Amino acid sequence: MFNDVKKISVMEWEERMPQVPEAYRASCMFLRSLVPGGVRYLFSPYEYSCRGDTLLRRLKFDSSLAALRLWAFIFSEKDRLFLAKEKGWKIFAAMKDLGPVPVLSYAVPDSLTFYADELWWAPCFAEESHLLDEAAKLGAGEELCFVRAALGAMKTLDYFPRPDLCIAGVGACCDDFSAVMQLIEAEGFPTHWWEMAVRFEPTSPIIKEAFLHSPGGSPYQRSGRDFVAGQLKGVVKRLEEVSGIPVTDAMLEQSRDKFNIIRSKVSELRDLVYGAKQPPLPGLEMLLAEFIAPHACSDPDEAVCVLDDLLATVKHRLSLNASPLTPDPLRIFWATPPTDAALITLLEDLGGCIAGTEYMISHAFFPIATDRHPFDAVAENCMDDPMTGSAGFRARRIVEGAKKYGAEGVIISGISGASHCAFDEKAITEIVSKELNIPVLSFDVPYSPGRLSAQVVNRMEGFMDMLKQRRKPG
Amino acid sequence: MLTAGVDIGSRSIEVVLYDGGQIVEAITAISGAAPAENAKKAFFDAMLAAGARRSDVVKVIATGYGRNYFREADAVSSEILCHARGVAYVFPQARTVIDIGGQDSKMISVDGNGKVMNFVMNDRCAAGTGKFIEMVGLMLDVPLDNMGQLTENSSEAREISSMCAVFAESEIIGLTQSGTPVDVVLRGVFRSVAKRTLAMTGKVGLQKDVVFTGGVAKNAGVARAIEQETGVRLQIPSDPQVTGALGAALIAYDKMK
Repeated sequence: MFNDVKKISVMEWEERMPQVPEAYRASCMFLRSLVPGGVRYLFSPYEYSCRGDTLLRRLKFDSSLAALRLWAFIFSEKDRLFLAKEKGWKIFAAMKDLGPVPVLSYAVPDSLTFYADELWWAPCFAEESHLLDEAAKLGAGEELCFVRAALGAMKTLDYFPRPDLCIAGVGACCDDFSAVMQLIEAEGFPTHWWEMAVRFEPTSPIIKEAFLHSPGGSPYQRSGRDFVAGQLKGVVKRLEEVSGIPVTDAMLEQSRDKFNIIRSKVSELRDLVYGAKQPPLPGLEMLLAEFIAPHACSDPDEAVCVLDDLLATVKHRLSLNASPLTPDPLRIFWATPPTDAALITLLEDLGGCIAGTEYMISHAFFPIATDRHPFDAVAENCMDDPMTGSAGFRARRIVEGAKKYGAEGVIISGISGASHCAFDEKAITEIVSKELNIPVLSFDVPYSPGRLSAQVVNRMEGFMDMLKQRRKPG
Repeated sequence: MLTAGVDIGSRSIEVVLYDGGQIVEAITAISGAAPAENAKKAFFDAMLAAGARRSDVVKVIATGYGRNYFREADAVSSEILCHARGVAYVFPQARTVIDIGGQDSKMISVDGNGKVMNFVMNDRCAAGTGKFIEMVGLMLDVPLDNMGQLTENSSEAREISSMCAVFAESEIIGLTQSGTPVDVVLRGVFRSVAKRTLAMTGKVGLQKDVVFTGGVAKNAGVARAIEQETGVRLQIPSDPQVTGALGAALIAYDKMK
């Protein structure tokens, strides 16, 4: 039953659940280091939809057991957080963090770190508009992007327990988030702020110093990396104060190595799936898998198992040339994570597939250097963050990705109210059009739980029709 | 043997019947609160006007915002393809299509065969669409059909600076209260629409011949304003509103071949 390769609904998954082998269920365990043997979590997406995430019912899911495990792993994150808190572990909220803090914070024993503002995309799976209503009551209205849901979630504690510390990035990153985080701190949540440096271009007349190159190939000014390294040192000092546990270099290196394993697996998965002519895994599952790279979904050990399972499934399907998508799909590079997950389903329903992404976490797929102190290495990785440089830098990364995976078109799904996206669209469109001569579609995704905006659907359909026409000779 | 194209837009419905050589019938109706039902009625009205039976229409393609709700359709097609195809039929030399409808405006770059090379849509705000012009007409008590004529001899225009239709409305109220003549306000509104249209050229370019379609293309004042802003002479079909439905009927015919 689980060898068929297709996309199925929540109800179809529910019907299949009794056939899931017991041995497989028993292999899916989270927090093995907290509870002897770990905690079972393999529930169907339908069960999560019954908890209130009813928007799941309009999505289609991959039919593999590995995908089932992935979805269950993502949606059981709050169970891990509440359990760990109950057992006395420290809970750290990494806010506006696309990767660096968990690499350091998981060095602290008996602690979990979660990405609290990941909730900005949770509304695309969950009918959680009440989080936005709560945020509005506290002063964060529609002028801010969905990241404001994190404020509502802090207030209600529906998605996670009260963190022992919020670690908030500011500086060369999202302005909206800084505003939201200030409101969270004003609500009495203990907060440590750290600042991200701007990454200058080598042509900048402002910087008169030598430029180095990150593992991702980005040039950056050394003073920027040194500044960030100092900031990260301050983060660890605060973690030591809150946990009461001194963090040694060996502990930091161990955590770094674990995250490097996760990063390499996600990176391999991306290359296998996005590089395939007939992708062996749908775009939604890939979106979830990609977001494991920066934060490991509050369980780095189980994250490795989930990714191993996905990799095995993907390799098996590639060997059979099996895919859940329509034959010879139109290859689309997607920039900025869609705030409505149904857009990916729509893309595939229209005969497309995801062939490369830049979900603003592309730096989290690069390995963290092991030949220098973790503070320097993680800081260096921060300088690869597409949000810390110019829109042109991000556009070039999109061009590289679109070339690498043979994209026929680029879609940029903007986030209403997200100020860091203001110039992306224009720069990306210009650079991609010039360098690749492929069409670019960009639009903002309004928040409308349960239904896609007619305008967005209209554009997507027009775009896909145009790409189909371009394939025809003459 | 006939094919039909049915364009169900936010403001109006257009139906074209095509026999493989010429347009047999083209009609327009109001979308209203029940667009699917109104589209069905318009479709049967078109057949009645053409003296055709339902069985004579062998293929129906629906397009426009309401395309997925029209049960008489055999297939649907996006407006982008339909407009490009319809324009290529009327003006084979067209390379750029400017379409301003009730709910959005779009610019399409096409090759000589009606193949879409690129497109851009503006639907973030009502300003720059037919709905906005309709709203201004109601505010100024000027029927849509009279707008072009009213501004024909006007040499002055008061700029409308707001990007939002609601704020633009406030601005227009301010202008009329301060005694600005209606034709001057209208010219300002048309220039505002033209500037929004011009803003789309950055993505697809403005290659000649440029064809102006959609319900707003019937407004000579807007056409003049776009020509003045772009410096390009526009080609306007005799019935610019039905281009999308025509394209749908032609695509339906292509599928029959």
